[in-house]
Amino acid sequence: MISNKLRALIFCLLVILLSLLFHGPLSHIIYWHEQHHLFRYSEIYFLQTTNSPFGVLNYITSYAIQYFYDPLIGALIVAFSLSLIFLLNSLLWQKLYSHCDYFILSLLPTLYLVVELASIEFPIKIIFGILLNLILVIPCVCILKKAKKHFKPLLLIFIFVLSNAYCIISLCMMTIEIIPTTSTFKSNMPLTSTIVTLLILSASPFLGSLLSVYISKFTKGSLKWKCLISLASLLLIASISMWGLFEKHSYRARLMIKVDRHIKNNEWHEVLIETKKYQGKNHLVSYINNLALYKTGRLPYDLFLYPQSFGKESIFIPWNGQTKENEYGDLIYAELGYWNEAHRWAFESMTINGENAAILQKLVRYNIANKRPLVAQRFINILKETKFYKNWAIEEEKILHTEKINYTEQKNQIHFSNISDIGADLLFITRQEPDNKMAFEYLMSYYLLSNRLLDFAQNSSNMKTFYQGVPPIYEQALIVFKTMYPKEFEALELEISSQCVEQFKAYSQSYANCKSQSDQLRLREQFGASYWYYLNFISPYGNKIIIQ
Amino acid sequence: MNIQKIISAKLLKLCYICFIFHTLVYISCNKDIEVSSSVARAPQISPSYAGLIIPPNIAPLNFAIEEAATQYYIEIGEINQNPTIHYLQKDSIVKINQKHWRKLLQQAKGGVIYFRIYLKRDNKWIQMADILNVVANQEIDQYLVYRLLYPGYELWNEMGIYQRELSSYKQIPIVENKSLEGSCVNCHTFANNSPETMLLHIRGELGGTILYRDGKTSKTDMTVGGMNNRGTYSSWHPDQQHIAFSMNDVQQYFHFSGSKPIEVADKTSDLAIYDCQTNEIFTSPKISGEEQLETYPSWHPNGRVLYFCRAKKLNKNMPLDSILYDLYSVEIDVKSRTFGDPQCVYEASALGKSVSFPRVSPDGRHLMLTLSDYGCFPIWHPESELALLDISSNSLRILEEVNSDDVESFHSWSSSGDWFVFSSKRLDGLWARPFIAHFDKKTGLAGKPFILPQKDPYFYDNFTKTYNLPELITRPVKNVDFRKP
Repeated sequence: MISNKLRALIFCLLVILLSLLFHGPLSHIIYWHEQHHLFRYSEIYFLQTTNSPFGVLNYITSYAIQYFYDPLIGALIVAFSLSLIFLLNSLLWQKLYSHCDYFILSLLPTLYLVVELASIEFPIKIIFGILLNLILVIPCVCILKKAKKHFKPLLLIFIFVLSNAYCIISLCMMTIEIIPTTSTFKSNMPLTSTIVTLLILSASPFLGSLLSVYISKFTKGSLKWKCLISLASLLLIASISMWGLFEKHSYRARLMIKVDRHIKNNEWHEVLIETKKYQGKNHLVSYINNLALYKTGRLPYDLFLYPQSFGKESIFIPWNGQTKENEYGDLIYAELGYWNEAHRWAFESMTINGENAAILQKLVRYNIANKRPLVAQRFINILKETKFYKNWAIEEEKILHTEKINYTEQKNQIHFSNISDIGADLLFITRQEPDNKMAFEYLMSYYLLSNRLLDFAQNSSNMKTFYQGVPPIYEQALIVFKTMYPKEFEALELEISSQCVEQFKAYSQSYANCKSQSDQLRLREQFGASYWYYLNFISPYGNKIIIQ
Repeated sequence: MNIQKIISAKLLKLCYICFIFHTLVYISCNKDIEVSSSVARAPQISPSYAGLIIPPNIAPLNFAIEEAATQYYIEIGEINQNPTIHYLQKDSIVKINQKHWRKLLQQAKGGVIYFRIYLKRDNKWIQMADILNVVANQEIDQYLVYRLLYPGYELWNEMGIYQRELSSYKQIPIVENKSLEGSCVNCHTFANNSPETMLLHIRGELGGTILYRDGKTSKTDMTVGGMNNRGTYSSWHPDQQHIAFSMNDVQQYFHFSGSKPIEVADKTSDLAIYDCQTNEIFTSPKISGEEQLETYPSWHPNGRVLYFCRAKKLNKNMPLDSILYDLYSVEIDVKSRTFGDPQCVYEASALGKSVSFPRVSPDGRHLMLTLSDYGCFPIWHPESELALLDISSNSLRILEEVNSDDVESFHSWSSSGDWFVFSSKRLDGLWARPFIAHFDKKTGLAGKPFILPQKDPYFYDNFTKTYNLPELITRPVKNVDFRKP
């Protein structure tokens, strides 16, 4: 056993360090869980939640997670819970076994959980499950201690299984996450988990005690050796945990969650800053980045400043039912004012991801905008049952029937969404609403990204409405168009600046002389943010103009 | 001796306390209010359980009083009788004791019951006009089966088929898709409202049709050679051996804008008959072919006539709102597997309308159907309404007494034909809720529909799953494991 003082010291240190961790580098985990859970104060929610496997645990977890709304409180809850697991685990083993564990292996479950929690995929309910079980088991162990001799073996087995059932559920569930699931496996889960847990976790403090007993033969109870062993063990466990944390922690996930937070706060400049940091190709990042460009007024200027390696799909997400992308596919339609499509994406996201505040808030807004106040009211009613979104819901309810929302008038012309390609939808919108700037910019971007220069030029008549001068990348496209279709260009009555003409000449020359990798690199440095470079080197549709 | 005295004293004290307690309870439950005035109008209650014909075995119609007051006094009883149920409360939500309610309805069978509500305002009691409901003699089938899922578009997650005991609030799962690896479960169909013969479809990895018959489950694949589509909508023959089913290639289209979010149309659809005994499928060019779309088969109780919906084949540039289904019937001898010529029973297309879900009443005299402006998926059409066809005269009547301004769609008869259940989106336009209505077989008139009662009168305000395919059954589905056919 650890001395009480040492135990208390480790506990306090854990609380402080873990609070700092979850309020700092891992704060995105707290935010993510809060955004993907919703606790409701209602009988129906209680009955629905508890009436399922692990129902009570889910209910308690959701209850705790609602307080993650405040990041500091969330960090404290997680830190305290994890630290308490160590404390109770260590107390439990002290009750069960009288032998010392210099190696302080009762820290293992806590630190393992910390490492696992660095991934958003890890079900946080395990922590609360373990805690619950430890809280329940310790009194049982006390009873065991006072029980009569002939009851002890039975009680021991019972408590051993029970205590480890959750203490174990930690590794239990972890193992389940790793092993490919089949229906057979899942149906045998409780038994499998108990066995796995018994084998894995229960070994560690017990093993520690055994080792301690063995070593004490050599150290002869020397305090100095005890301290050295404990310290070394602590350092080793801490080092392995740190390593595990670095391995498990996903920089990209962290970035995306930050982006998500900025989107929800309408901080589009910040979105651009974060998406720029993303290394590698990611369709969702590309889509969000381009939306941020539009929101900051930079889409017709900086489109090719960013890698558009997904071609036309850089500006939208084709419908494929993917969970993560579902959460954001509505954004573009909401901005365009096409509420049916926005609603469809948000609703499908709710179907797959469950009801959470973010999705419900969107559904409220979309249904208000789409003149469906009764539907919006349903979602408002749900949010009114929550602690932290109740006020928002009440405010929305006030405007539900009264405020004039900017909504898209129902058009006589029926148009069905093209769920796999937004081009036709954008064209439809620009024809229905010639003053819809976003639709125009997205349509232009769509044509540019898909090498459809002719379509781009033919639909460019609104440029004069939206801009005083022609934006640079549109100029770059137009000059290519002029080269290929001079007569048609004249009919557009658009002017290309002399600067653009000069740049085009320079690019053409450099392109013609581009024979080696280094030539291309130089070309990229100089013209990487131009339409010409995209057309020649990046477009997934080749370097030819496509005529449809 | 002393101990005995102490015990006696304690017992006496206990009895005294109980007596006081019960007296207080009795007093509080009894009408001890002085009515200052009365109002000629009935109070607003939610749900609107007023002016109904209700079955004598329905669960308590819990309601919320939508009138502001500091206190409420509620009396419920048989008309011209003293109230048998009364509550004095500050809460506007009235939850009726199930035992007392059951007893009251049994006593009031064939008669009328009242909800009498008093409101306390400014320290004065006001009596509102009574809310009256008729209690029918005929009971409704014990259970209502439905699928619960999000009224989504394409994706699904959690869903299940449940049975709700209509005399209480108990809802028990028949099958939930989490036990079927998340597959989609749908189209539960019963023979003659009986749980002993049923089928349901599964989509996904475990795809197929699960039949439950003679105490055994089996899995079958309702496909006809040369056809790509699996069995979709089904109807059990009264012999409980044959199943008429349609095979539909269903396409969804999402409206970019406007009040209708979705259009659903069949690219192709045909009919066939499945023989459970021989595990064979047979059909005829008269009910399947490329030139027509045939769907929604429904047997007449005599087992000789099959009703179905038919429309002209969908061409490439054909607008969806030009697909109009008529009601057809065809004589079929399932033993000899012979087919008569299909006859048009009701030409909805001539009136610019489209028919879906033909369902014949158990006595074979009436056929209820859903009419919409076009197509065969009326759940997404706000103009959809129920209509009733008199089979002997072929005259059609819109069920004005039942329809609302929003969707009325799928419907199901009770085993006796005295009741029917249908899906309606009248509450908000998105979620379908089951409504129950009485049907007078003699007059062909329906009673005012009422929503399936829930323990919490505000249940539907927050419930975000839709009720799909409500079907009445006479007894519960028991001990059927759909995971292991």
